[in-house]
Amino acid sequence: MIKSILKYSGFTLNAVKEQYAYKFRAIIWTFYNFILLFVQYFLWNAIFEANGGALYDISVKKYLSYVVMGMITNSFLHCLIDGSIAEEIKSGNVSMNLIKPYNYIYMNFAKQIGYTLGSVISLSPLIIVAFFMTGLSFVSVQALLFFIVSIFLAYMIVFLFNMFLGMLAFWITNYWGLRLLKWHVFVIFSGELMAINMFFKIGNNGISNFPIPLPEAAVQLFFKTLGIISYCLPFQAMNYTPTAIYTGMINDTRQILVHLGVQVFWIIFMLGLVRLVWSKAKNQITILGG
Amino acid sequence: MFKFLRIYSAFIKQQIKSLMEYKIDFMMGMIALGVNQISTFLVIFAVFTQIKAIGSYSFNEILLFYGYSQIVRGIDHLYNDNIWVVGWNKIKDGSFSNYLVRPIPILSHIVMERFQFDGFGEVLIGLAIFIYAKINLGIAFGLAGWMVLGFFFFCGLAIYFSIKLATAAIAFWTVSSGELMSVIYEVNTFTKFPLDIYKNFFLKNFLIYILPFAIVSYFPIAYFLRDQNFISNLLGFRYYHRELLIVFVGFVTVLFYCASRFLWRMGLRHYNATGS
Repeated sequence: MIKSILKYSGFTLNAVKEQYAYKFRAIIWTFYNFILLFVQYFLWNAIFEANGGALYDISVKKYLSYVVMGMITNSFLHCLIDGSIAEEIKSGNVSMNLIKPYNYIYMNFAKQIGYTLGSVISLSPLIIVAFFMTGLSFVSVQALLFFIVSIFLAYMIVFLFNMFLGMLAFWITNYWGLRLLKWHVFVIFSGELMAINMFFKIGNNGISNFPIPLPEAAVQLFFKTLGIISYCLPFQAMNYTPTAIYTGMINDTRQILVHLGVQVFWIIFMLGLVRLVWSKAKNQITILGG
Repeated sequence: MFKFLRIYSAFIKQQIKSLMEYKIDFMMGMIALGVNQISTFLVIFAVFTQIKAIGSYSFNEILLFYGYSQIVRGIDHLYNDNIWVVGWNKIKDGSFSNYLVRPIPILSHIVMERFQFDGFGEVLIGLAIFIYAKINLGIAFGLAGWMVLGFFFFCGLAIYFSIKLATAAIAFWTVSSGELMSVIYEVNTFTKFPLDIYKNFFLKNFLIYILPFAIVSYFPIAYFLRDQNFISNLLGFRYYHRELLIVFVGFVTVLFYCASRFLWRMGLRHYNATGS
Protein backbone atom coordinates (compact mmCIF):
# COMPACT_ATOMS: atom_id res chain seq x y z
CA MET A 1 0.00 0.00 0.00
CA ILE A 2 2.59 2.55 1.12
CA LYS A 3 4.85 1.40 -1.65
CA SER A 4 2.23 2.08 -4.30
CA ILE A 5 1.39 5.46 -2.81
CA LEU A 6 5.06 6.35 -3.08
CA LYS A 7 5.10 5.09 -6.64
CA TYR A 8 2.21 7.26 -7.77
CA SER A 9 3.02 10.32 -5.65
CA GLY A 10 5.58 11.34 -8.26
CA PHE A 11 2.78 12.07 -10.71
CA THR A 12 0.97 14.13 -8.10
CA LEU A 13 4.06 16.18 -7.36
CA ASN A 14 4.68 16.79 -11.04
CA ALA A 15 1.14 17.96 -11.56
CA VAL A 16 1.49 20.42 -8.67
CA LYS A 17 4.71 21.76 -10.14
CA GLU A 18 3.08 22.10 -13.54
CA GLN A 19 0.51 24.43 -12.02
CA TYR A 20 3.19 26.65 -10.59
CA ALA A 21 5.20 26.82 -13.78
CA TYR A 22 2.69 29.32 -15.16
CA LYS A 23 2.04 31.75 -12.34
CA PHE A 24 0.80 34.50 -14.60
CA ARG A 25 -1.73 32.11 -16.07
CA ALA A 26 -3.03 31.19 -12.62
CA ILE A 27 -3.51 34.84 -11.72
CA ILE A 28 -5.39 35.55 -14.94
CA TRP A 29 -7.71 32.58 -14.42
CA THR A 30 -8.53 33.92 -10.98
CA PHE A 31 -9.82 37.07 -12.65
CA TYR A 32 -11.77 34.95 -15.07
CA ASN A 33 -13.52 33.33 -12.13
CA PHE A 34 -14.25 36.72 -10.61
CA ILE A 35 -16.00 37.86 -13.76
CA LEU A 36 -18.16 34.75 -13.84
CA LEU A 37 -18.88 35.21 -10.16
CA PHE A 38 -19.93 38.84 -10.54
CA VAL A 39 -22.18 38.11 -13.52
CA GLN A 40 -24.04 35.42 -11.61
CA TYR A 41 -24.16 37.40 -8.38
CA PHE A 42 -25.55 40.61 -9.84
CA LEU A 43 -27.96 38.83 -12.15
CA TRP A 44 -29.58 36.72 -9.43
CA ASN A 45 -29.56 39.65 -7.07
CA ALA A 46 -31.56 41.66 -9.61
CA ILE A 47 -33.95 38.79 -10.23
CA PHE A 48 -34.68 38.20 -6.56
CA GLU A 49 -35.03 41.90 -5.85
CA ALA A 50 -37.56 42.18 -8.64
CA ASN A 51 -39.66 39.70 -6.70
CA GLY A 52 -39.26 41.44 -3.35
CA GLY A 53 -36.22 39.57 -2.05
CA ALA A 54 -37.46 35.99 -2.23
CA LEU A 55 -38.55 33.45 -4.84
CA TYR A 56 -40.81 30.72 -3.41
CA ASP A 57 -39.45 30.10 0.06
CA ILE A 58 -35.84 30.78 -0.92
CA SER A 59 -34.44 34.07 0.33
CA VAL A 60 -32.05 36.13 -1.78
CA LYS A 61 -29.28 35.62 0.77
CA LYS A 62 -29.61 31.87 0.66
CA TYR A 63 -29.71 31.73 -3.10
CA LEU A 64 -26.74 34.03 -3.55
CA SER A 65 -24.66 31.91 -1.23
CA TYR A 66 -25.80 28.90 -3.25
CA VAL A 67 -24.61 30.56 -6.48
CA VAL A 68 -21.27 31.60 -5.01
CA MET A 69 -20.67 28.32 -3.24
CA GLY A 70 -21.55 26.51 -6.46
CA MET A 71 -18.75 28.35 -8.24
CA ILE A 72 -16.25 27.46 -5.53
CA THR A 73 -17.30 23.81 -5.60
CA ASN A 74 -17.03 23.82 -9.36
CA SER A 75 -13.52 25.24 -9.38
CA PHE A 76 -12.42 22.81 -6.69
CA LEU A 77 -13.78 19.87 -8.69
CA HIS A 78 -12.37 21.16 -11.97
CA CYS A 79 -10.94 18.23 -13.93
CA LEU A 80 -8.88 18.34 -17.10
CA ILE A 81 -8.07 14.63 -17.21
CA ASP A 82 -10.48 13.98 -20.09
CA GLY A 83 -8.72 16.46 -22.36
CA SER A 84 -5.25 15.20 -21.52
CA ILE A 85 -6.21 11.54 -22.09
CA ALA A 86 -7.88 12.37 -25.38
CA GLU A 87 -4.83 14.37 -26.41
CA GLU A 88 -2.53 11.46 -25.54
CA ILE A 89 -4.67 9.11 -27.58
CA LYS A 90 -4.81 11.41 -30.60
CA SER A 91 -1.09 12.10 -30.56
CA GLY A 92 -0.20 8.47 -29.90
CA ASN A 93 1.67 9.22 -26.67
CA VAL A 94 -0.65 6.93 -24.78
CA SER A 95 1.45 4.01 -26.03
CA MET A 96 4.30 5.20 -23.80
CA ASN A 97 2.02 4.97 -20.79
CA LEU A 98 0.77 1.54 -21.75
CA ILE A 99 4.18 -0.12 -21.76
CA LYS A 100 5.20 1.19 -18.36
CA PRO A 101 4.65 -0.79 -15.16
CA TYR A 102 1.82 1.16 -13.65
CA ASN A 103 -1.92 1.31 -13.77
CA TYR A 104 -3.15 3.97 -16.17
CA ILE A 105 -6.23 4.78 -14.10
CA TYR A 106 -4.30 5.14 -10.83
CA MET A 107 -1.72 7.26 -12.57
CA ASN A 108 -4.36 9.67 -13.81
CA PHE A 109 -5.95 9.83 -10.38
CA ALA A 110 -2.60 10.74 -8.86
CA LYS A 111 -2.23 13.46 -11.49
CA GLN A 112 -5.69 14.79 -10.80
CA ILE A 113 -4.96 15.08 -7.07
CA GLY A 114 -1.90 17.09 -7.99
CA TYR A 115 -3.90 19.47 -10.18
CA THR A 116 -6.39 19.99 -7.38
CA LEU A 117 -3.70 20.66 -4.79
CA GLY A 118 -2.10 23.13 -7.17
CA SER A 119 -5.35 24.93 -7.88
CA VAL A 120 -6.35 25.33 -4.23
CA ILE A 121 -3.96 28.27 -3.95
CA SER A 122 -5.53 30.11 -6.86
CA LEU A 123 -8.93 29.28 -5.41
CA SER A 124 -8.31 31.19 -2.20
CA PRO A 125 -8.84 34.72 -3.63
CA LEU A 126 -12.19 33.53 -4.93
CA ILE A 127 -13.15 32.18 -1.51
CA ILE A 128 -12.10 35.41 0.21
CA VAL A 129 -14.09 37.60 -2.20
CA ALA A 130 -17.06 35.25 -1.96
CA PHE A 131 -16.85 35.44 1.82
CA PHE A 132 -17.12 39.22 1.79
CA MET A 133 -19.97 39.15 -0.70
CA THR A 134 -22.24 36.64 0.97
CA GLY A 135 -20.64 35.57 4.23
CA LEU A 136 -20.67 31.95 3.01
CA SER A 137 -22.41 30.96 6.20
CA PHE A 138 -23.21 27.27 6.55
CA VAL A 139 -26.44 26.13 8.11
CA SER A 140 -25.18 23.84 10.85
CA VAL A 141 -22.13 21.85 11.86
CA GLN A 142 -23.94 18.72 10.79
CA ALA A 143 -24.53 20.19 7.33
CA LEU A 144 -20.86 21.10 7.12
CA LEU A 145 -19.84 17.53 7.89
CA PHE A 146 -22.26 16.15 5.32
CA PHE A 147 -20.88 18.68 2.85
CA ILE A 148 -17.33 17.43 3.36
CA VAL A 149 -18.43 13.84 2.76
CA SER A 150 -20.45 14.89 -0.27
CA ILE A 151 -17.70 16.88 -1.91
CA PHE A 152 -15.30 13.94 -1.65
CA LEU A 153 -17.87 11.69 -3.26
CA ALA A 154 -18.40 14.31 -5.95
CA TYR A 155 -14.65 14.44 -6.53
CA MET A 156 -14.62 10.72 -7.28
CA ILE A 157 -17.58 10.98 -9.63
CA VAL A 158 -16.06 13.89 -11.52
CA PHE A 159 -12.76 12.06 -11.91
CA LEU A 160 -14.29 8.78 -13.07
CA PHE A 161 -16.68 10.52 -15.42
CA ASN A 162 -13.90 12.50 -17.10
CA MET A 163 -11.75 9.40 -17.28
CA PHE A 164 -14.60 7.67 -19.09
CA LEU A 165 -15.12 10.54 -21.56
CA GLY A 166 -11.42 10.85 -22.28
CA MET A 167 -11.14 7.16 -23.06
CA LEU A 168 -13.98 7.42 -25.56
CA ALA A 169 -11.40 9.15 -27.75
CA PHE A 170 -10.15 5.65 -28.58
CA TRP A 171 -13.25 5.42 -30.76
CA ILE A 172 -14.06 8.98 -31.79
CA THR A 173 -10.43 10.21 -32.10
CA ASN A 174 -11.22 13.91 -32.12
CA TYR A 175 -12.31 15.19 -28.72
CA TRP A 176 -13.83 18.55 -29.52
CA GLY A 177 -17.57 18.04 -29.85
CA LEU A 178 -17.91 15.69 -26.92
CA ARG A 179 -16.09 18.09 -24.63
CA LEU A 180 -18.33 20.96 -25.67
CA LEU A 181 -21.35 18.73 -25.13
CA LYS A 182 -20.12 17.83 -21.65
CA TRP A 183 -19.63 21.50 -20.72
CA HIS A 184 -22.97 22.74 -21.94
CA VAL A 185 -25.10 19.84 -20.70
CA PHE A 186 -23.32 20.13 -17.35
CA VAL A 187 -24.35 23.78 -17.03
CA ILE A 188 -28.04 22.98 -17.32
CA PHE A 189 -28.29 19.75 -15.33
CA SER A 190 -25.68 20.26 -12.61
CA GLY A 191 -27.42 23.12 -10.87
CA GLU A 192 -24.92 25.66 -12.19
CA LEU A 193 -27.51 27.46 -14.30
CA MET A 194 -30.06 27.38 -11.51
CA ALA A 195 -30.63 25.21 -8.47
CA ILE A 196 -32.30 21.91 -9.36
CA ASN A 197 -34.99 22.37 -6.72
CA MET A 198 -36.10 25.49 -8.61
CA PHE A 199 -37.14 23.24 -11.50
CA PHE A 200 -39.43 21.32 -9.17
CA LYS A 201 -40.72 24.46 -7.47
CA ILE A 202 -41.77 25.94 -10.80
CA GLY A 203 -43.23 22.56 -11.71
CA ASN A 204 -45.28 22.23 -8.54
CA ASN A 205 -46.26 25.75 -7.62
CA GLY A 206 -48.09 26.97 -10.68
CA ILE A 207 -47.34 30.06 -12.65
CA SER A 208 -48.15 33.69 -12.15
CA ASN A 209 -48.37 36.12 -15.06
CA PHE A 210 -46.45 34.21 -17.70
CA PRO A 211 -45.79 36.41 -20.74
CA ILE A 212 -46.07 33.70 -23.41
CA PRO A 213 -49.55 32.28 -24.07
CA LEU A 214 -48.79 28.66 -23.20
CA PRO A 215 -50.96 26.29 -21.17
CA GLU A 216 -49.86 26.35 -17.55
CA ALA A 217 -49.77 22.57 -17.32
CA ALA A 218 -47.36 22.31 -20.24
CA VAL A 219 -44.90 24.76 -18.70
CA GLN A 220 -45.11 22.99 -15.35
CA LEU A 221 -44.54 19.64 -16.99
CA PHE A 222 -41.57 21.04 -18.91
CA PHE A 223 -39.75 22.20 -15.79
CA LYS A 224 -40.65 19.07 -13.86
CA THR A 225 -39.17 17.01 -16.69
CA LEU A 226 -35.98 19.05 -16.56
CA GLY A 227 -35.75 18.30 -12.84
CA ILE A 228 -36.30 14.59 -13.36
CA ILE A 229 -33.71 14.44 -16.15
CA SER A 230 -31.24 16.12 -13.79
CA TYR A 231 -31.63 13.26 -11.36
CA CYS A 232 -31.16 10.69 -14.13
CA LEU A 233 -27.82 12.22 -15.13
CA PRO A 234 -24.66 12.20 -13.01
CA PHE A 235 -24.15 15.97 -13.21
CA GLN A 236 -26.30 16.94 -10.24
CA ALA A 237 -24.23 14.61 -8.04
CA MET A 238 -21.11 16.52 -9.13
CA ASN A 239 -22.20 19.99 -8.15
CA TYR A 240 -25.74 20.44 -6.89
CA THR A 241 -25.63 17.88 -4.07
CA PRO A 242 -22.62 19.24 -2.13
CA THR A 243 -23.52 22.88 -2.74
CA ALA A 244 -27.15 22.44 -1.76
CA ILE A 245 -26.20 20.56 1.40
CA TYR A 246 -23.82 23.31 2.43
CA THR A 247 -26.28 26.13 1.85
CA GLY A 248 -29.24 24.31 3.33
CA MET A 249 -31.23 23.94 0.10
CA ILE A 250 -31.40 20.29 1.09
CA ASN A 251 -31.80 20.39 4.85
CA ASP A 252 -33.76 17.33 5.84
CA THR A 253 -31.38 14.64 7.16
CA ARG A 254 -33.24 11.87 5.37
CA GLN A 255 -33.02 13.79 2.08
CA ILE A 256 -29.32 14.42 2.59
CA LEU A 257 -28.74 10.71 3.07
CA VAL A 258 -30.71 9.90 -0.08
CA HIS A 259 -28.57 12.36 -2.05
CA LEU A 260 -25.37 10.88 -0.65
CA GLY A 261 -26.70 7.44 -1.58
CA VAL A 262 -27.22 8.61 -5.16
CA GLN A 263 -23.64 9.82 -5.21
CA VAL A 264 -22.37 6.45 -4.02
CA PHE A 265 -24.44 4.78 -6.73
CA TRP A 266 -22.82 6.96 -9.40
CA ILE A 267 -19.35 6.13 -8.12
CA ILE A 268 -20.00 2.40 -8.37
CA PHE A 269 -21.65 2.81 -11.77
CA MET A 270 -18.81 4.92 -13.16
CA LEU A 271 -16.18 2.61 -11.72
CA GLY A 272 -17.76 -0.31 -13.58
CA LEU A 273 -18.05 1.74 -16.75
CA VAL A 274 -14.43 2.90 -16.66
CA ARG A 275 -13.16 -0.65 -16.12
CA LEU A 276 -15.32 -1.93 -18.95
CA VAL A 277 -14.30 0.77 -21.41
CA TRP A 278 -10.65 0.44 -20.46
CA SER A 279 -10.59 -3.31 -21.04
CA LYS A 280 -12.38 -2.91 -24.38
CA ALA A 281 -10.11 -0.07 -25.41
CA LYS A 282 -6.95 -2.04 -24.64
CA ASN A 283 -8.09 -4.77 -27.04
CA GLN A 284 -8.95 -2.56 -29.98
CA ILE A 285 -6.32 0.12 -29.59
CA THR A 286 -4.91 1.81 -32.67
CA ILE A 287 -1.92 4.02 -32.09
CA LEU A 288 -1.87 7.01 -34.38
CA GLY A 289 1.31 8.56 -35.66
CA GLY A 290 4.74 7.53 -34.54
CA MET B 1 -12.13 42.92 -53.86
CA PHE B 2 -12.89 40.07 -56.25
CA LYS B 3 -9.55 38.49 -55.46
CA PHE B 4 -10.34 38.78 -51.77
CA LEU B 5 -13.63 36.88 -52.15
CA ARG B 6 -12.03 34.17 -54.28
CA ILE B 7 -9.34 33.52 -51.69
CA TYR B 8 -11.86 33.62 -48.86
CA SER B 9 -14.07 30.99 -50.49
CA ALA B 10 -11.04 28.77 -51.08
CA PHE B 11 -10.18 28.97 -47.38
CA ILE B 12 -13.77 28.16 -46.38
CA LYS B 13 -13.84 25.10 -48.62
CA GLN B 14 -10.74 23.71 -46.92
CA GLN B 15 -12.30 24.29 -43.55
CA ILE B 16 -15.47 22.40 -44.33
CA LYS B 17 -13.36 19.49 -45.51
CA SER B 18 -11.39 19.37 -42.28
CA LEU B 19 -14.54 19.57 -40.15
CA MET B 20 -16.13 16.70 -42.04
CA GLU B 21 -13.13 14.54 -41.25
CA TYR B 22 -14.59 13.65 -37.85
CA LYS B 23 -18.31 13.45 -38.50
CA ILE B 24 -19.59 12.15 -35.14
CA ASP B 25 -17.47 14.65 -33.27
CA PHE B 26 -18.72 17.46 -35.49
CA MET B 27 -22.35 16.47 -34.91
CA MET B 28 -21.86 16.37 -31.16
CA GLY B 29 -20.23 19.77 -31.27
CA MET B 30 -23.18 21.23 -33.15
CA ILE B 31 -25.65 19.74 -30.66
CA ALA B 32 -23.55 21.13 -27.80
CA LEU B 33 -23.64 24.63 -29.25
CA GLY B 34 -27.41 24.34 -29.57
CA VAL B 35 -27.69 23.31 -25.92
CA ASN B 36 -25.53 26.26 -24.97
CA GLN B 37 -27.87 28.62 -26.80
CA ILE B 38 -30.84 27.26 -24.90
CA SER B 39 -29.38 27.59 -21.41
CA THR B 40 -29.50 31.38 -20.95
CA PHE B 41 -32.91 31.44 -22.53
CA LEU B 42 -34.00 28.83 -20.00
CA VAL B 43 -33.08 31.12 -17.11
CA ILE B 44 -35.09 33.99 -18.59
CA PHE B 45 -37.99 31.61 -19.22
CA ALA B 46 -37.94 30.16 -15.71
CA VAL B 47 -37.61 33.49 -13.97
CA PHE B 48 -40.48 35.09 -15.84
CA THR B 49 -42.88 32.39 -14.80
CA GLN B 50 -42.78 34.14 -11.43
CA ILE B 51 -41.97 37.80 -11.88
CA LYS B 52 -43.27 40.56 -14.13
CA ALA B 53 -40.07 42.47 -14.71
CA ILE B 54 -36.37 42.55 -13.89
CA GLY B 55 -35.39 46.09 -13.00
CA SER B 56 -37.54 48.18 -15.30
CA TYR B 57 -37.51 45.61 -18.09
CA SER B 58 -40.38 43.40 -19.17
CA PHE B 59 -39.96 39.92 -20.59
CA ASN B 60 -40.00 41.07 -24.20
CA GLU B 61 -37.59 43.90 -23.55
CA ILE B 62 -35.12 41.52 -21.92
CA LEU B 63 -35.48 39.26 -24.94
CA LEU B 64 -34.82 42.15 -27.31
CA PHE B 65 -31.52 42.90 -25.54
CA TYR B 66 -30.56 39.26 -25.40
CA GLY B 67 -31.45 38.56 -29.04
CA TYR B 68 -29.57 41.58 -30.35
CA SER B 69 -26.46 40.85 -28.29
CA GLN B 70 -26.45 37.26 -29.57
CA ILE B 71 -26.61 38.41 -33.19
CA VAL B 72 -23.61 40.73 -32.81
CA ARG B 73 -21.66 38.10 -30.87
CA GLY B 74 -22.55 35.45 -33.44
CA ILE B 75 -21.43 37.46 -36.45
CA ASP B 76 -18.18 38.30 -34.71
CA HIS B 77 -17.77 34.64 -33.83
CA LEU B 78 -18.33 33.65 -37.48
CA TYR B 79 -15.76 35.76 -39.23
CA ASN B 80 -13.33 36.84 -36.52
CA ASP B 81 -12.32 33.71 -34.67
CA ASN B 82 -8.84 33.09 -35.99
CA ILE B 83 -7.46 35.94 -33.92
CA TRP B 84 -7.85 33.62 -30.92
CA VAL B 85 -5.35 31.26 -32.47
CA VAL B 86 -2.95 34.16 -32.95
CA GLY B 87 -3.28 35.08 -29.28
CA TRP B 88 -2.94 31.53 -28.00
CA ASN B 89 -0.52 29.84 -30.33
CA LYS B 90 0.60 31.40 -33.60
CA ILE B 91 3.33 33.48 -32.06
CA LYS B 92 4.38 30.82 -29.60
CA ASP B 93 4.92 28.16 -32.27
CA GLY B 94 6.33 30.59 -34.82
CA SER B 95 3.66 30.01 -37.46
CA PHE B 96 2.83 33.71 -37.37
CA SER B 97 5.71 34.20 -39.78
CA ASN B 98 3.52 32.62 -42.47
CA TYR B 99 1.40 35.76 -42.56
CA LEU B 100 4.41 37.95 -43.08
CA VAL B 101 5.57 36.28 -46.27
CA ARG B 102 2.19 35.99 -48.05
CA PRO B 103 1.02 38.55 -50.62
CA ILE B 104 -2.16 39.38 -48.70
CA PRO B 105 -2.51 42.03 -45.97
CA ILE B 106 -1.86 40.37 -42.60
CA LEU B 107 -5.16 41.17 -40.91
CA SER B 108 -7.31 40.09 -43.83
CA HIS B 109 -5.34 36.89 -44.06
CA ILE B 110 -5.98 36.19 -40.38
CA VAL B 111 -9.68 36.82 -40.84
CA MET B 112 -9.96 34.73 -43.99
CA GLU B 113 -8.08 31.74 -42.71
CA ARG B 114 -10.86 30.53 -40.48
CA PHE B 115 -14.61 30.71 -40.76
CA GLN B 116 -16.15 29.51 -37.52
CA PHE B 117 -19.44 27.76 -38.24
CA ASP B 118 -20.28 27.68 -34.52
CA GLY B 119 -21.49 31.25 -34.81
CA PHE B 120 -24.49 30.27 -36.94
CA GLY B 121 -26.34 28.98 -33.87
CA GLU B 122 -25.94 32.28 -32.09
CA VAL B 123 -27.00 34.29 -35.11
CA LEU B 124 -30.07 32.18 -35.90
CA ILE B 125 -31.35 31.96 -32.33
CA GLY B 126 -30.54 35.61 -31.76
CA LEU B 127 -32.49 36.61 -34.88
CA ALA B 128 -35.48 34.48 -33.88
CA ILE B 129 -35.60 35.96 -30.37
CA PHE B 130 -35.05 39.49 -31.64
CA ILE B 131 -37.85 39.25 -34.19
CA TYR B 132 -40.22 37.61 -31.70
CA ALA B 133 -39.59 40.30 -29.10
CA LYS B 134 -39.82 43.12 -31.60
CA ILE B 135 -43.23 41.95 -32.86
CA ASN B 136 -44.55 41.54 -29.31
CA LEU B 137 -43.34 44.94 -28.23
CA GLY B 138 -44.95 46.44 -31.31
CA ILE B 139 -42.16 48.92 -31.95
CA ALA B 140 -41.54 50.20 -35.46
CA PHE B 141 -38.10 51.50 -36.33
CA GLY B 142 -38.89 53.11 -39.66
CA LEU B 143 -36.24 53.51 -42.34
CA ALA B 144 -34.19 55.98 -40.31
CA GLY B 145 -34.38 53.67 -37.30
CA TRP B 146 -33.10 50.71 -39.24
CA MET B 147 -30.23 52.79 -40.57
CA VAL B 148 -29.33 53.85 -37.04
CA LEU B 149 -29.52 50.25 -35.91
CA GLY B 150 -27.31 49.27 -38.84
CA PHE B 151 -24.76 51.85 -37.75
CA PHE B 152 -24.87 50.62 -34.14
CA PHE B 153 -24.48 47.08 -35.38
CA PHE B 154 -21.40 48.01 -37.36
CA CYS B 155 -19.95 49.81 -34.32
CA GLY B 156 -20.62 46.76 -32.16
CA LEU B 157 -18.70 44.54 -34.54
CA ALA B 158 -15.88 47.06 -34.62
CA ILE B 159 -15.69 47.11 -30.82
CA TYR B 160 -15.46 43.33 -30.66
CA PHE B 161 -12.84 43.39 -33.38
CA SER B 162 -10.78 46.04 -31.62
CA ILE B 163 -10.89 44.40 -28.21
CA LYS B 164 -9.84 41.04 -29.60
CA LEU B 165 -7.14 42.58 -31.75
CA ALA B 166 -5.67 44.63 -28.92
CA THR B 167 -5.57 41.71 -26.50
CA ALA B 168 -4.10 39.40 -29.12
CA ALA B 169 -1.44 42.01 -29.89
CA ILE B 170 -0.18 41.68 -26.31
CA ALA B 171 1.14 38.30 -27.41
CA PHE B 172 3.83 40.05 -29.48
CA TRP B 173 5.46 40.93 -26.19
CA THR B 174 4.35 38.04 -23.97
CA VAL B 175 4.46 35.28 -26.65
CA SER B 176 1.00 34.05 -25.69
CA SER B 177 -1.96 36.07 -24.49
CA GLY B 178 -4.85 33.62 -24.80
CA GLU B 179 -5.69 33.75 -21.10
CA LEU B 180 -5.84 37.52 -21.07
CA MET B 181 -8.00 37.47 -24.20
CA SER B 182 -10.41 35.02 -22.61
CA VAL B 183 -10.77 37.09 -19.46
CA ILE B 184 -11.36 40.36 -21.29
CA TYR B 185 -13.68 38.76 -23.81
CA GLU B 186 -15.69 37.02 -21.10
CA VAL B 187 -16.70 40.44 -19.76
CA ASN B 188 -19.16 40.59 -22.64
CA THR B 189 -21.34 38.10 -20.74
CA PHE B 190 -22.62 41.14 -18.86
CA THR B 191 -24.14 42.51 -22.05
CA LYS B 192 -26.59 39.64 -22.45
CA PHE B 193 -28.84 41.53 -20.06
CA PRO B 194 -29.51 45.27 -19.86
CA LEU B 195 -26.73 46.85 -17.90
CA ASP B 196 -28.71 48.82 -15.33
CA ILE B 197 -30.34 45.74 -13.78
CA TYR B 198 -27.03 44.98 -12.08
CA LYS B 199 -27.35 48.24 -10.11
CA ASN B 200 -23.64 48.60 -9.67
CA PHE B 201 -22.05 51.99 -10.23
CA PHE B 202 -18.55 50.67 -10.80
CA LEU B 203 -19.61 47.95 -13.20
CA LYS B 204 -21.75 50.33 -15.22
CA ASN B 205 -19.01 52.88 -15.77
CA PHE B 206 -16.43 50.19 -16.40
CA LEU B 207 -18.53 48.77 -19.22
CA ILE B 208 -19.24 52.19 -20.72
CA TYR B 209 -15.93 53.98 -20.45
CA ILE B 210 -13.12 51.48 -19.92
CA LEU B 211 -14.08 48.29 -21.71
CA PRO B 212 -16.96 49.59 -23.80
CA PHE B 213 -19.01 46.44 -24.21
CA ALA B 214 -22.05 48.56 -23.33
CA ILE B 215 -21.66 50.19 -26.75
CA VAL B 216 -22.06 46.80 -28.41
CA SER B 217 -25.61 45.95 -27.50
CA TYR B 218 -26.87 47.92 -24.53
CA PHE B 219 -26.99 51.46 -25.92
CA PRO B 220 -28.34 50.44 -29.33
CA ILE B 221 -31.41 48.81 -27.79
CA ALA B 222 -31.81 51.35 -24.99
CA TYR B 223 -31.86 54.03 -27.72
CA PHE B 224 -35.05 52.53 -29.12
CA LEU B 225 -36.72 51.54 -25.85
CA ARG B 226 -35.97 54.45 -23.52
CA ASP B 227 -35.93 58.24 -23.72
CA GLN B 228 -32.90 60.48 -23.46
CA ASN B 229 -33.39 61.26 -19.76
CA PHE B 230 -32.88 57.63 -19.02
CA ILE B 231 -29.73 57.41 -21.12
CA SER B 232 -28.39 60.69 -19.75
CA ASN B 233 -28.56 59.21 -16.29
CA LEU B 234 -26.59 56.21 -17.44
CA LEU B 235 -23.88 58.17 -19.16
CA GLY B 236 -23.50 60.52 -16.23
CA PHE B 237 -23.85 63.67 -18.35
CA ARG B 238 -26.83 65.44 -19.83
CA TYR B 239 -27.37 65.83 -23.53
CA TYR B 240 -30.25 67.43 -25.31
CA HIS B 241 -30.61 65.74 -28.65
CA ARG B 242 -31.45 62.06 -28.73
CA GLU B 243 -29.25 61.62 -31.78
CA LEU B 244 -26.14 62.63 -29.88
CA LEU B 245 -25.97 59.08 -28.55
CA ILE B 246 -25.20 57.96 -32.10
CA VAL B 247 -22.29 60.38 -32.23
CA PHE B 248 -21.08 59.17 -28.85
CA VAL B 249 -21.16 55.52 -29.93
CA GLY B 250 -19.39 56.32 -33.18
CA PHE B 251 -16.75 58.38 -31.39
CA VAL B 252 -15.92 55.68 -28.84
CA THR B 253 -15.79 53.06 -31.58
CA VAL B 254 -13.36 55.06 -33.73
CA LEU B 255 -11.21 55.79 -30.68
CA PHE B 256 -11.04 52.15 -29.73
CA TYR B 257 -10.43 50.96 -33.25
CA CYS B 258 -7.54 53.36 -33.79
CA ALA B 259 -5.99 52.53 -30.43
CA SER B 260 -6.07 48.80 -31.08
CA ARG B 261 -4.69 49.18 -34.60
CA PHE B 262 -1.89 51.29 -33.17
CA LEU B 263 -1.11 48.62 -30.56
CA TRP B 264 -1.17 45.93 -33.22
CA ARG B 265 1.23 47.92 -35.41
CA MET B 266 3.60 48.47 -32.49
CA GLY B 267 3.45 44.76 -31.77
CA LEU B 268 4.22 43.82 -35.35
CA ARG B 269 7.29 46.00 -35.28
CA HIS B 270 8.34 44.32 -32.07
CA TYR B 271 7.72 40.81 -33.40
CA ASN B 272 10.60 38.41 -33.36
CA ALA B 273 10.09 34.88 -34.60
CA THR B 274 10.56 32.32 -31.85
CA GLY B 275 13.09 29.59 -32.46
CA SER B 276 12.49 26.13 -33.98
